[in-house]
Amino acid sequence: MYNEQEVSIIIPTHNRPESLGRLLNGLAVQDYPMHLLEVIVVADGCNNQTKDIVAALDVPYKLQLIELTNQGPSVARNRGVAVAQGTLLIFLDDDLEPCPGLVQAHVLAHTIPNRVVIGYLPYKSTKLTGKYITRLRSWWESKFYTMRQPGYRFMYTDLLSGNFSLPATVFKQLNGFEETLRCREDYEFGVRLIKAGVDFYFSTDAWAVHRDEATDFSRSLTRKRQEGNADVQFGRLHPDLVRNLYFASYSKRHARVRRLLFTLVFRVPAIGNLFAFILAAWVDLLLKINSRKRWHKYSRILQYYWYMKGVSDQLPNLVQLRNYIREYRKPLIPVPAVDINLDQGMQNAEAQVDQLRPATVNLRYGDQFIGIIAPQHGAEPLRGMHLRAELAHRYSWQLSQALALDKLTADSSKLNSQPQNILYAN
Amino acid sequence: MATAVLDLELENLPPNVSVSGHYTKAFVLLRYKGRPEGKIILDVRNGIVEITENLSKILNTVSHTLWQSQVHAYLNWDEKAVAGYTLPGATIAVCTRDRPDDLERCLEALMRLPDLGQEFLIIDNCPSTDATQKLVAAYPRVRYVREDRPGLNVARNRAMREASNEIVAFTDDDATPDAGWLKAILLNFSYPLVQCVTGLTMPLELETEAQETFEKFTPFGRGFRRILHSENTLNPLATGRIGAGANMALRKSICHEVGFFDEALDAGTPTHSGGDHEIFTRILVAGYTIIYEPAALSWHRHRRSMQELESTLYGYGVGVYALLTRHLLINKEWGVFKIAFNWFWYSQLKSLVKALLKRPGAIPAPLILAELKGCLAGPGLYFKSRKKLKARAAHV
Repeated sequence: MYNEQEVSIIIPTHNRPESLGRLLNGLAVQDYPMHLLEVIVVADGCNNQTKDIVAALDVPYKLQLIELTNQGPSVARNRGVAVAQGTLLIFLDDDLEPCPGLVQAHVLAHTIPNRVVIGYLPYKSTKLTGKYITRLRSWWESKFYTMRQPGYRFMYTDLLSGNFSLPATVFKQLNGFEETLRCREDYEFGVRLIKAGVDFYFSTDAWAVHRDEATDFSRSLTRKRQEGNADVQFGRLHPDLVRNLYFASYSKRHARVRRLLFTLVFRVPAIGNLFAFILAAWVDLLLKINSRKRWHKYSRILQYYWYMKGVSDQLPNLVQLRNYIREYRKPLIPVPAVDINLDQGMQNAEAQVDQLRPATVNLRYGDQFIGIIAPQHGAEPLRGMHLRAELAHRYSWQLSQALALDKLTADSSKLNSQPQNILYAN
Repeated sequence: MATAVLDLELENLPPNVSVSGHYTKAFVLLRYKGRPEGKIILDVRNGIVEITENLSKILNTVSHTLWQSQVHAYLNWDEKAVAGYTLPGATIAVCTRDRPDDLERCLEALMRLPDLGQEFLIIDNCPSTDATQKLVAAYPRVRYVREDRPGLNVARNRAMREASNEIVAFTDDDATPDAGWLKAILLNFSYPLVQCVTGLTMPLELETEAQETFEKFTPFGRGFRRILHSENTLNPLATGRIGAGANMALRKSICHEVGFFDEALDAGTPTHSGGDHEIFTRILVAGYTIIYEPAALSWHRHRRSMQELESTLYGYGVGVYALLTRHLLINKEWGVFKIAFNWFWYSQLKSLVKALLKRPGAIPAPLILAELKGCLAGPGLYFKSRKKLKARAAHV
């Protein structure tokens, strides 16, 4: 049996009384001792309906309501934690429908003290259908699926704040969510968790259906603008991650589109607005005539336009943008790589990595060089289990060559014996 | 002129294999640790297939997949092995119509599958005798369901409704699934967006010229690499390369999201084929993924006579154009014109010219002409099929 502990569930909510009622009822039927459970609803800028719903509910756990005047999810979560009694905190979004084992699965997953557990959120869009929703669902499900795969290396972007848990002490040590952010506050918290060496863990057992009733394409554009805005602030807090941000990355992917968007947003905003208007109409038309490939392409450009618009809310002209990048986008600091040799067997190599937890590794097999696992900004330090994944995904060809050469030399040293089987003989 | 079909394990290759004297060639499936890696056609001399002599040839054919499998074996790596996944329950459905001999072989193969808690379902489609029912009665683990409305897709829909498990795996009555077939399929459903898995289909026998021709020009196999198909990687209207209904599995729930199989399509109706490829399109358009998994191996008995082969190819032509008609008619998919044009211009026309010039390795002209004839008839037959369907619905 597990170590039963007091659990506080914090739910920030913003005018979604029905969804909230469903979630609170779902928590009433959890397979967890109810006297150890406490739920804190933080109503952020809500009308009376939310208050009424919470007041009308008869639930077997301790339920508290805190009211705020539209201060954003970061503040809401921090206020919730301030009154929480539990040793384990679970954060849930208000539009979830939890499985009965959710709380227990979260508690069980905390087998080591310094861990954050991210729960699975299968995606169900109830009211809306359409191309954008299917794309969102694909993104959502593939994100969770990669986290489930063996040897996945967690990043700060994996801290999805909809369904996660961590010990109250860890939350308080890190001073909670950054209150100046209204968006990207989850990524920002994720960065500090990673930097503090907190272990990331993904649990499929702690699942809750994400019943999305609000998102559609036009809302996603508003959201993109907020993201652009928040990314600029995020970069100020974590200059080492500025190169990961879309507007400040120099990656060659979409370089032409990015250049066009820079021009439209920063140099000729009036034409930019006209461009966005026409592009929106074009995207609508593409959907109507089932031209999916083009729709994907142009709807993305439209989204990035609004993202850049958000960036320009913070940095109104190109001079400021340039200064920002000059100030915050620091050159990479070289990290010393650790040499890992695979010729003593995989388990040996893995144990070595587990012990050292390096940021980057040079992989060798005997005296043959296989490849580098490059340092990744904002990712957890390497573990032994990451080796197999990297080798299988990126360096399988190099490894097969190394193994074949190894086999050949071994065979030729046994002069008279014929190669017994054809392994690695190609 | 007959070709022996062999199934060899690379880790355990015999120096030579003796086959019956009437074979002049051997079609060899090559596996590594049970996973299909490649196929090769070797000569037969005096009833002997020389393996050691042809070793470099064999290694060449598997070189593009084998190294990866070897590395994965060395690393003990399986990308499908995600945390917290247990194999879902499966129902194996066989839709059959008046082919008890084939069905018996199929049932024997199904009985040899390892027990993963699967259910067996035989849908007897509009039978003219009770031979099938009698045959199935001899297998106590198999459930017999009779569906009186004719049409392969009608039978498939019945199977989707009757199945009591989450995954419905279809095999044709003239196919015999390999022992690892079901498990290989089920492993792929670990990804929630995967709604359909198709497998590799190899020839069961190549005894006649028709069978050899079929395997040479229109094989069911889609290569030896596992492929994830989604809207981002494949035009959803071009579903030919995904696989075929003879070896596919779907989630039962998909029918409530994208609809059931179109009953105006496929065998038993005027449209002859196309029902499987049509639903693949709807699955992809809905944003889901279809995986082609070569480890899900099944052996299919191709048509034995040239007449049958010709009518099969005519049926393909009809089926493709019928399903394109459906896409245009029901889903307003204007892209079908491009698909039809590309298929004709880059594939059919080339083959036809080659055949008429009698180039070596060309498909026999009557077969292409049959296919083209089918294409021309396709749209009309689709309307005819729908009319028939409506008339029957009104009659009942």
